[in-house]
Amino acid sequence: MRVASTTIYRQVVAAMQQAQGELATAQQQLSSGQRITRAGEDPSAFSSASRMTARLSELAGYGRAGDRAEHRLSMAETRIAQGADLLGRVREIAVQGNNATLSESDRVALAGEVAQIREQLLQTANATDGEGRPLFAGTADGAAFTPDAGGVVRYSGNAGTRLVAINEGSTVADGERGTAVFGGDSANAFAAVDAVAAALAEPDPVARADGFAASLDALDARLEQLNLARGRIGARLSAIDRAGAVRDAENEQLTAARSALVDTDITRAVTDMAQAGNRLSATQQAYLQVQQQSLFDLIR
Amino acid sequence: MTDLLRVGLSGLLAYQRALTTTSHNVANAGVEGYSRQRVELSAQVAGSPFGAGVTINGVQRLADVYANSRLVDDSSGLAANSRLADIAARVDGLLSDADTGLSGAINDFFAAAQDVAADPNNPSAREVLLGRAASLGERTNALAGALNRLDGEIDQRAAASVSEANGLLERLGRVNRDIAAGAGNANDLLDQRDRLTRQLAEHIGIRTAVQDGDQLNIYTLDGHALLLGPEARSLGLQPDPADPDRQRLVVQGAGSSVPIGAPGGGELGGLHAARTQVVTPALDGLGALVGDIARAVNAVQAAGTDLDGQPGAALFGLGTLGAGAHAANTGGAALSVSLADDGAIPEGRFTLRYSGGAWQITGAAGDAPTLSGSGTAADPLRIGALSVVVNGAPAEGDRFALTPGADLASGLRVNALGARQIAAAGALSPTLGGGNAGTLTVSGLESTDPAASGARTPASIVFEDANSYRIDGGALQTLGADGIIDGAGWRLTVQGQPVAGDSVALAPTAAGSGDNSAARMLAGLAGSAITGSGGTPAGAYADLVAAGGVVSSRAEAARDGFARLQAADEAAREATSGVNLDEEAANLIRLQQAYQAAAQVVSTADQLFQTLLGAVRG
Repeated sequence: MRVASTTIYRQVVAAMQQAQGELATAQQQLSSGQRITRAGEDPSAFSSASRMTARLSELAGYGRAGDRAEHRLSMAETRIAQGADLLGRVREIAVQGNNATLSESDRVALAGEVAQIREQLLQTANATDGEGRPLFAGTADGAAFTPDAGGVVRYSGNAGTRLVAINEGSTVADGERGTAVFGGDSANAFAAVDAVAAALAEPDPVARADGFAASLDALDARLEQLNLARGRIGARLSAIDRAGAVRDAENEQLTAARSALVDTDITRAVTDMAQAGNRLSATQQAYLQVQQQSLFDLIR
Repeated sequence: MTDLLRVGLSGLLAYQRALTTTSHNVANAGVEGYSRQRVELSAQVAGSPFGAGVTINGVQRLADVYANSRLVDDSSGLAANSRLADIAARVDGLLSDADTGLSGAINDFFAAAQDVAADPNNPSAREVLLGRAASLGERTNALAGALNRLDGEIDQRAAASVSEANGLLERLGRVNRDIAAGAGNANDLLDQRDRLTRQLAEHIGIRTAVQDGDQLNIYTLDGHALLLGPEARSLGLQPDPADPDRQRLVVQGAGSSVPIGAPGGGELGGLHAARTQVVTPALDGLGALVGDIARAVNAVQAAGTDLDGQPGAALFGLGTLGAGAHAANTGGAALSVSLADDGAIPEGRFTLRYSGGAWQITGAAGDAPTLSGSGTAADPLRIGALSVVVNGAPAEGDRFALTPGADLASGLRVNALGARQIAAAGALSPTLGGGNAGTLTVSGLESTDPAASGARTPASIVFEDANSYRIDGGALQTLGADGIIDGAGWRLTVQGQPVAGDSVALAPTAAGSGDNSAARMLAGLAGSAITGSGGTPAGAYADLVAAGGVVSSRAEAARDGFARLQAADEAAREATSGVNLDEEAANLIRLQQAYQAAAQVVSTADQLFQTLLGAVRG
């Protein structure tokens, strides 16, 4: 084929530009750490990566929600254990008070302790999560239990349950309604404590013995309910843990998959850069060689 | 002897010309589009049997017409795809970028909704959600602004390209005239014409035809004449009657202008493709997508109750939707467009046309979306979520352009709500009857229809036994194993065993509720197919970006392909027409030697003459 002088020049310039373009691309990939920065560079990879990013963001949100639910449930668990301890002490008092050898003044002292415990129990039932939100009031934002004018303590929360999403299609209640922990309006822990107090104040030994027997039954029922609530919370905490493990696995998988799609393959980028650099210097050398040979130089 | 002198002189003359042409080649070696020339010599056929010297047949221009015509086509393709690739890459960059694109804003918004759902009474979580909504709106408006500016830039570039193309057409007309008149060096004029043709093809796709042996005619790809011999037409841009904000390309003739369908190649073709394949779809898709998200968010707000116990106010304002009347409309109808609560926003631009007493619709891509309704206020025209009411009387053939996506992308606003106004709670809250003796508990209460009569009114569910109940003393209903009780606008889910007389009361949620059922629905929108394309918000946006990315990557591949083709065409052209300096140097030596030899012949003739004279004088 006949070759024009400009053809050689044009071809060499094109080859140099191509090599320089590849150098710039490899360099950009290496410095940014990103193989692709916009969809046009690899539409399907970019689109998959965007979906993965959205899912990762969602997983992180579930993680935060799970952490918060775990915090609230742990606090509720502590309070329930505290409530069980308090009721356990009241039960001891009821057993002790039933002893016929106990003097009047002993019973008065015990009654004082019971009154104190009742106060503590009310504080426990109205405990908050550390941010001012009640643990046992359902979805209501006020106190879970309030004493009425006659001193009778009733549930003042609502029947709502706050469900927190901890993964796709998986929710967990972030608290226990007070009624399911301390009992409802009539048969509740405070009524059981009040029954012990009433028995302690009862002057008639027979009626007192009956009162203690009834209050022990009521206390046992309340303790049973507290234990059940504690069991439910334990089950929920482990569900949160399991959901966390599932999320972590998915997170790890997605992060690796996304990185494979959009991040720079360092080895490859370095190799590409070296190859492009070699081609560039070879082309430059060749051009100098070709340009030195002209017949006009030889005509003297 | 005079023969000898004549032969010598013919050689001198011929080689002098040939040397001149070689010098012309050397001098033009670096000129773009120059075709090398060669003096054609032959032996003079006449006179004595001993020969009469050399004669010049002419100066030949070495050109490959096929390579030249490929070069015109491929230059046109290269220019079109370079411009398309350039604009597509810019749009792609805008949409893909973490800072200017929407994917981060969409993810952040729903992440904030998740945080509100996890802790509905936390004021800072609510503030963050409002902030994320604001940046979603701002980014949408900023993207719409950037795309609209790009649209304006396309018009400006088109205007510049049209004016350059018109200059080229005028010069081509002059060259045709000069060639016809035989003025100047015909070979160099042909080079000039090829060069101008190629430059014109870089502005607009053309077809060429040579007429009467030497006159070049040029047509657009759809057959409109741009150049007929010496007569050049001009291109022009006029406001598009269907969309006065945009320009359309016309060929200006005597008195009338003919619109060009699609320029097909060159800068103008690339600009047209960039508008129809990249900028407009991106703007339309963006608006439809964000509009769908905004409507879904507003619907959740409307179904919920805020911290003050009020129904949630709309978080997003959707702006006004327009219906552009065609410039040629003769009727008195005006269209008002709004968004209905149901259906998805159709993606794209549409033309409503009144014909034969009914409205017809066509999409920009020639598709026809479903159109229902008659256009009255009671029965508006419906295209997906678009609701169109016709005011006044349309005339036959009247047309209106609907651009819902573009209107929404620019018009989307984020209303100034306070943190307390986020409706995280459901509209109703359940309370178990104080005297309940069974183990009944409520495990869920959600809104099914915020517009229903019972959506915000108290209700009481009283059980007759473990498996049957009445709502507000109504008909006895059976409780299924799933524990679901459906009321007017709500769905209650219960667990446990109720006994006769047990009850659940539903009451409008009071201020300060810690319920999160509406916030959970809001966060759940991230995984719901709420867009017209049937995707999730982030998924539909990824599709939108990928669609632009496909155009971008295709245009880049086409650009690189045309660049390679053009380089091959150029090499093919130069193989015939290009100047090789070594070849010219060799020719220079060869012709110089021939010239010197011819001069020697003249000198020999002179000596012979002198010899003869001497002999005669003798």
